[in-house]
Amino acid sequence: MTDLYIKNTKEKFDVLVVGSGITGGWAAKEFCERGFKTLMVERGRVVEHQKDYIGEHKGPWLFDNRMKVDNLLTAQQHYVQKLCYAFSDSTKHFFGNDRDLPYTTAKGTGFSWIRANQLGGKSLLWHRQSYRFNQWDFQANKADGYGIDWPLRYADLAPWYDHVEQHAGIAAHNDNLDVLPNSVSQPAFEWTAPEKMLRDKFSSLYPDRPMVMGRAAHLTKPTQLHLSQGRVQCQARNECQKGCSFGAYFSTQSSTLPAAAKTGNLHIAPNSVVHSLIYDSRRNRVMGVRVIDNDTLETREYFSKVVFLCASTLGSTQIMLNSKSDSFPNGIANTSGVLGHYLMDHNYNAGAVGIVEGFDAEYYSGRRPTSPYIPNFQYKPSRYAKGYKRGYALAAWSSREDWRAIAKQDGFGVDFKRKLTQAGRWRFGLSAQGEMLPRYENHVALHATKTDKWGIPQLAIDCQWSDNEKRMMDDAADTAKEMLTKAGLKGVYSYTRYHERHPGIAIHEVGTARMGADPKASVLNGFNQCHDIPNLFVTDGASFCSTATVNPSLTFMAITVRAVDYAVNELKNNRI
Amino acid sequence: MSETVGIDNNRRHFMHSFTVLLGSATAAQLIDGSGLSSALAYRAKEDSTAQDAMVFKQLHMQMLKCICDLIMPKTETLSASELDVHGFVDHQLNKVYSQHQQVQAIGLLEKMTRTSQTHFKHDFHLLRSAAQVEILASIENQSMGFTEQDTTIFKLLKSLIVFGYFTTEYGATEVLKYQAIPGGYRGSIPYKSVDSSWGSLGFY
Repeated sequence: MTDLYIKNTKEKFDVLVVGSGITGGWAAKEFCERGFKTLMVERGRVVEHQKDYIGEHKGPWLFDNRMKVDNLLTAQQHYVQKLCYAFSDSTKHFFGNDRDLPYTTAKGTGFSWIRANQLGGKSLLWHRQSYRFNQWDFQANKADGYGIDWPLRYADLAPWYDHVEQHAGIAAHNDNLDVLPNSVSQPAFEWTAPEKMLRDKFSSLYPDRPMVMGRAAHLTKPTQLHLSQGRVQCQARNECQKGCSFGAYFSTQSSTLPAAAKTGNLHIAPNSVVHSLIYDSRRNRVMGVRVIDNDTLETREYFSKVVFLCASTLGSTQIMLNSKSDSFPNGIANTSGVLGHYLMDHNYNAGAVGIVEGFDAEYYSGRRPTSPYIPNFQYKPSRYAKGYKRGYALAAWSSREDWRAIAKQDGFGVDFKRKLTQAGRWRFGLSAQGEMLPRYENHVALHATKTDKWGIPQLAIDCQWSDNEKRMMDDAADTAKEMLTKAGLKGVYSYTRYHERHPGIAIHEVGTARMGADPKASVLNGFNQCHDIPNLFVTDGASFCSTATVNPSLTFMAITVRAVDYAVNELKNNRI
Repeated sequence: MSETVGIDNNRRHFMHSFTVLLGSATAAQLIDGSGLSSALAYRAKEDSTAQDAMVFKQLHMQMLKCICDLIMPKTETLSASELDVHGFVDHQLNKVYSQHQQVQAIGLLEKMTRTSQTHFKHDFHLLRSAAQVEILASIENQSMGFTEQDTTIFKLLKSLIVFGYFTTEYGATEVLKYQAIPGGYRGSIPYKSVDSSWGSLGFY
């Protein structure tokens, strides 16, 4: 293990995996376990499991500003990252420094690009919601003619979902819904009493909108495999983004990295910012990557037979756009011209909230790291609402008000103080999680003149909500309000927020190097392999043809391990 | 009752398994947080009204101390000023909130001073508590010349006072119930109206 981290090497690896987040961790694990010498190239620092979770196990009184971030620091270094719900004084070291990571947005548009440039990437910060795409998700583009057809179907991915779920550990009930295929699961988290009441009410009011317990990548009943990795049961702290020394939620550090390292086939090159891919035009193969040191700005190179780009949706595309040659003047593997286009995010911009009366004698213990979920009920054209395409899921939540809400009420003195210490009314909310259509106009390109501190051209992002997304959120707000009102909640109000929230902040950015059957209209084939260059793969969100409504990370995992399986076969048969 | 016992057992069981994983010294350090620096954390001062503070002048600190105890007086638990919440509010406004909000907060205290002089002929902190409460209530119900904007700024100060109180170790763990490591999630446990709510929130 002493030589796990390397800097300079002349070794030619079997595989370079660029990135160490959810996708990169899986690619590295799978290649290593199949006996391939693998180098994981990570642009940021090393984050060691447990040791480097410096915000963990600390009450708010141990932070300078009780877990709020200093306003000067935020203004200078975290003006984009602060928009993420999980950004706090206890997690800020896992977010990028905006001052060092500049990008531009087109006039009149905006994009909130959340960064996590360290070993483990956003696997340390993710929200851990884990759902399979369903059969209709892969056919949505074909069914309504918007975007190109996915070159794979649910049946192609199903066994790979099984594979990753067993290892990662997903707390999920077997709900037996076609719209939300079952996962290989651990026991689901419990419901609160008002949630149970509303689940039953919705099922009689809206039989096509079942509410299930949100599925999350947490261990509720660890297997021997999990225990052998040092992972134990979730303690229900719901402070995951500080890092979890229990290894109770899936991250690179808790799950894929120890598995990869155990094989002896893994090396990691931290602080290695990939500038571009090294291309051999004679053989039409990539040979490796050019790297600039994160700290010293020195350059170095790494070589391999195969390269897997797992550097995040925009990270991978930026590397490809910056890999120019006579053969590929507009970015490597970009003969189609679609590299950088069809950028999408999820549309999380509407919802409704109300008060549930009664249940005064009910409370909960612990902090549940998930909440109930109503899957998309507009999953095919015959079920679309009027005025827009596609649909949305509704993420639900419930809690009793506490001092944070009660402090805003009128009152003083002994009675008010007592009220502050007690549990208040039950609140319940529904938040829409909508699809965003793939549109050519939503794109990224390299800025003509601006570069970052490593001399790499900045991304110029041009992305905005279309009328389809806005109409969907208007409808979702009305629908959520109607559901809560009919279910008997009081003081129900709804909201939309697409006016003030730019794409990016759902942190589900996908597209820009999409898959497809036609090399003229897509960058990758159905196995995430570049149409133009056989030994170059992109298995992160860049490869997506549509967003679906479910959180994407579980699908990042599944398509990555499927691509590795394919690449291994191609390697063994000397085709790449 | 059995619920609580179950949770404690669960935690003990967990402590054991975690200790096996990490070794007892590391486990204990991680769990109670004692191995982590708190040098930068706001520390309560002996008397935050002794001089001008960062945002507020001395007079305003004296007023803020009164406001703290009008909102959260001493009962069977400590009052807000006994925890130096007024000192914390000054610190927090300076470190976390915008200059505009700081100026607004000063403006409200100045307006309260003028109102106090006009109606009661003394500075706010020298008034009897009945008169002080009358002024605070008039900010909340927008009488005595207080506007909707004044109410908004006052609610910010009030929220900060409450936040400052329940994010002290005392407020979070002794006034409320604190679960550093809940040991698992239960969706339904009994609650009586006299029970304290959870002071442990994960994020604040």
